[in-house]
Amino acid sequence: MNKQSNTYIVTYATVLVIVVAAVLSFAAIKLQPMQQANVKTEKMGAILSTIGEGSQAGTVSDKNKYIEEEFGKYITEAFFVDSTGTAADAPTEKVLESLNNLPEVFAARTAMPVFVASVPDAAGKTGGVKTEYVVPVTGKGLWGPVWGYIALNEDCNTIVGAVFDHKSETPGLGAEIATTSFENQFIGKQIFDKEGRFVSIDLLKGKGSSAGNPYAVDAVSGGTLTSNGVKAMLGTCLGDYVPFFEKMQSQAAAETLPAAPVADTTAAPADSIATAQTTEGGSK
Amino acid sequence: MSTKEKEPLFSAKNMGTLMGPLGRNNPILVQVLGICSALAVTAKMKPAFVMALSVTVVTAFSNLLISLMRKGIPSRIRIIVQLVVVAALVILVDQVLKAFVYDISKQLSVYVGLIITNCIIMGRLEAFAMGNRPWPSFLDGIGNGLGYGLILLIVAFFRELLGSGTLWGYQVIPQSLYDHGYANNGLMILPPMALIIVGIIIWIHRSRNKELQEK
Repeated sequence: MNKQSNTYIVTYATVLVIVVAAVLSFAAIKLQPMQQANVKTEKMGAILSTIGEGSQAGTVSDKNKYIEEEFGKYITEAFFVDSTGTAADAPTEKVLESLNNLPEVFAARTAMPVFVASVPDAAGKTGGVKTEYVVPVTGKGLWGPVWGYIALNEDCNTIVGAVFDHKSETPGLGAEIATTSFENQFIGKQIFDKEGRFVSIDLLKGKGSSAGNPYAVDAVSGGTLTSNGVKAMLGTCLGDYVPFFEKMQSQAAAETLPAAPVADTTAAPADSIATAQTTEGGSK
Repeated sequence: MSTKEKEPLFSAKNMGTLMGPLGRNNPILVQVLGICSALAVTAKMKPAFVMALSVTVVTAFSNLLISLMRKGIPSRIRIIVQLVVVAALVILVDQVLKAFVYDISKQLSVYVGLIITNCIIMGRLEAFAMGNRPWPSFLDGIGNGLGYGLILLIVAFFRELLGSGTLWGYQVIPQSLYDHGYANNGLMILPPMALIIVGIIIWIHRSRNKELQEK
């Protein structure tokens, strides 16, 4: 057989490509359900780790099942808020699904996901549990998308946990945003200043430059463009939630006041859901 | 396949194929292949190790496959055929990692794509697998992958130690040194330093192997 003939070459190439394509499609179809389960587990795991739960995931034999159970245990409710801060209840599964296309969600600003967590807290006023709010953020890094989850305390101001991730930032440089040492800097930081204005979280250049500053963390050294992306992401995405946060804050302020009629008149849909949530959390 | 006498699996010649790339015939130091990824992924040791491992797997198996196919490959489209085989292997590895070890696959993300562009793989396919039998080709792939990984780890060792003060993610330079004014060398994290370190390693390698020196 003449291996230099055009017929042979064309036949060889065609057969090879068809075989390779068949092998790859078969592998992709067979593996897809497992990959999707992993992606969902990863999102739920990230949400859990912002509130300091699900830490055994690395040691358990069935990680997906463990995360699923923990998620059901701590995340008591999930809903969508729009750009005016009005909440609309939705099944948790649907809210989780919306995490798959966050850029579109934040572009539309009509249904931005919020997860409500009940976390054990011995010192809390509501009898052993406190409510925390977890919101996703998404933006652009240097090479591709960056995203994360921010958990806020009941006051919708103090950050209790943050998790970041990225598609393709430079390993060792921009990719450092996904390390615990970077994420832990956010704990205890505040997104509203003393006058109640939204200030977001700044990323300052240089190790230790944010010491003592409640509104900033250290940027990643050697990863300035990624850090800028994270800063912009926090500003815009948390900014989109500001009407909701402010609503929750004014409602919390109204609750602590002894003048009950004030709290009654401010009853808006978002408030009623939130009130239901607080009592639900308190009863557990 | 042929009537030649049976060679033992680990004959002296096969061992030479396997061990050669680790020292005297190192792909990075002598053939200066795979430099691009050596610059990109050596800021920390852990990614460098994972990259070395994945490249070893892909070189070994693409060498094996191409060696099995070598009699039928039309020489005019052999590069494209090699590319298809390498790309298919890389995608397959990527899919399997995503399904079974999702966490590791996330660490690998960028590198999996980079493997396809690694000149060592194509270089070994052209230079070795096209003209040798499957078993030696497989060993050659493993040897070259390990030789590549060795240099990656050496470079990453110095870059991580001097650039971040850590090794494998653990702090090794004590805090007291920082208190006395020691600072991490930021230049070490940037790609140019990888080139300079590779240059120094090549220099040492040549001074020890005189036959490599040009007259």
